Amino acid sequence: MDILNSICSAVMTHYNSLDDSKKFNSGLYFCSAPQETTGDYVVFDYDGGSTDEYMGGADDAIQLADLRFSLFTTVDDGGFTLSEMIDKLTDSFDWRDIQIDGFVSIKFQRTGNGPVLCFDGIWQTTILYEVMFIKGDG
Amino acid sequence: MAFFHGKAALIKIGAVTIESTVSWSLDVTADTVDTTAMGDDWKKHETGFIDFSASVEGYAKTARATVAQLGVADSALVLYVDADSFFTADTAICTGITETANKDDTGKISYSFAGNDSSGLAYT
Repeated sequence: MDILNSICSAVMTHYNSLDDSKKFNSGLYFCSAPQETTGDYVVFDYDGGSTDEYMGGADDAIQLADLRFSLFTTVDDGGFTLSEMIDKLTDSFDWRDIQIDGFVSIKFQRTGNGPVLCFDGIWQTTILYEVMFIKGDG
Repeated sequence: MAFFHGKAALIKIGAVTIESTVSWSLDVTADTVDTTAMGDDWKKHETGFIDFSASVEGYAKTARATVAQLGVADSALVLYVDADSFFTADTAICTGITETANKDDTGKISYSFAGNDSSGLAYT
């Protein structure tokens, strides 16, 4: 399994393991949400990555990747629900030990956030993460 | 004779490969004694003792018992250029370990070694 697939699957697995109270009522999606999704939902994208190799075989390397989480809510309450979604996301992902088979998590670090916007009653913002994994089992 | 890339290089202490290393360096020196005498036009030198030292850098791991490796004198040191070519010293002393932690980066570790082998370095 390539590293993009591994990282994105690991994010989904971690999210699915959360208590319902920590999930978004309309879910987490990779790349795109269904067209008519309403409520609170998050779409995450793989924004690129890099490999920092060390001595050894071809796959002996530290893998770096940038992830962008885009948060949306159709609850038009002045941004209150959106701020609650930000808290949920950061509580669940900041520096969490995201498990990928064959790799050890070094960091899952929040590196920034985008502006809070509201278009046609849909509140949205973005949260950026940099993740790092190294081959191995600990 | 061929060029090589360091990606395939490795370092072993005894039979154990040091994990996740990023570089090693080997420094071999020969002492010289100045034997220049009055009336000579050019300086003269006699060769003296030959010595080597080595250093290794890599990513640190939380589980590695690094301090226990300090001062161990009976370990073979093998510096691989690639899978088939390597320098071997039957004994080398680990003379120093520097381990660093940085809030913005992965942990790093470096080792330094001094040669302690009457037969010197062998290259295979």
